[in-house]
Amino acid sequence: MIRKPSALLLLSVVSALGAQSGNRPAKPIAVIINASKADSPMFLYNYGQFIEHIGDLTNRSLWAEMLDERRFLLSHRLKACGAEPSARNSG
Amino acid sequence: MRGTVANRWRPIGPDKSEVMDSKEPYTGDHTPLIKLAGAEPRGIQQSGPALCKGKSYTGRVVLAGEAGARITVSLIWGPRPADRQVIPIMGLARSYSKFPLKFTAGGNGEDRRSEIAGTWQGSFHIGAVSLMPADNIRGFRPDTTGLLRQHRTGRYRFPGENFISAHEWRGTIGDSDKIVETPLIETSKALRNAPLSAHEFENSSIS
Repeated sequence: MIRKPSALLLLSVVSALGAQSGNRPAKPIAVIINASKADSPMFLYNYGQFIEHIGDLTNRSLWAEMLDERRFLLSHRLKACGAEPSARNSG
Repeated sequence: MRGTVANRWRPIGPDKSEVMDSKEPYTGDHTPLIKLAGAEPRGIQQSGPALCKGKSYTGRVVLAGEAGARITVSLIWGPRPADRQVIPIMGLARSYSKFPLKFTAGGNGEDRRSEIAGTWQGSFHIGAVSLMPADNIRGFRPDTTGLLRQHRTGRYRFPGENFISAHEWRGTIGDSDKIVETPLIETSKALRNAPLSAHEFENSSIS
């Protein structure tokens, strides 16, 4: 479980909409952060990053597979002279 | 060459000794079918990534073939006949079977490659093949995933962002040797060759 310090937020909002309306005089908005108090730990699934197939980020860097086209999904015949394959569809 | 351009499988022997067979595919639309020619080897080869001398590599190959076929899988790290390890496949059958592979590299020469080849009679299909460093952690590299852990960034989600906006995740679960991704957009072309599926990531050590 990842523990992130979480400040207890005491929020005092006094008629924010009213303050913007111009009909009444603006009233102050106050925020008090008490850094000495920690909230419960952040939920595990709320905190992290994502990984995607940009360049070699996933397949060459994180995934350990050493062979390409290991399931032979492309439609090309295997050519001795290095002809480029044609993809089966646009994707 | 390792990079965004995928390494290609090349035939061992003439082009016509290998066809993409759509009648008995192991996965996808077609599977390589190798026609044998006596003592002269026939099969496929792929130039390999960097090897480390003394390091072990494990994998598997999915094969089906006729009784007269003698199949070997080789890891080659140099030009001399001794610069290779050859694993004979025992128990080849007409139906697809998975055969485990384990190599120890003896070097890292420029002509390093992997070969799946057969001799003698008949033909054989190559359904799928995989090769990884033996110290992989459920398919992931221990060095790079270790670096990610040092960042203490918590969970990693996969796939991510617009890059795979048309990615069909339902095509990426199950036996990883049979997975056929079906992305629809051009930018997803890289995924067609992607060894890594969402299912594999789900089982990974860094998620």
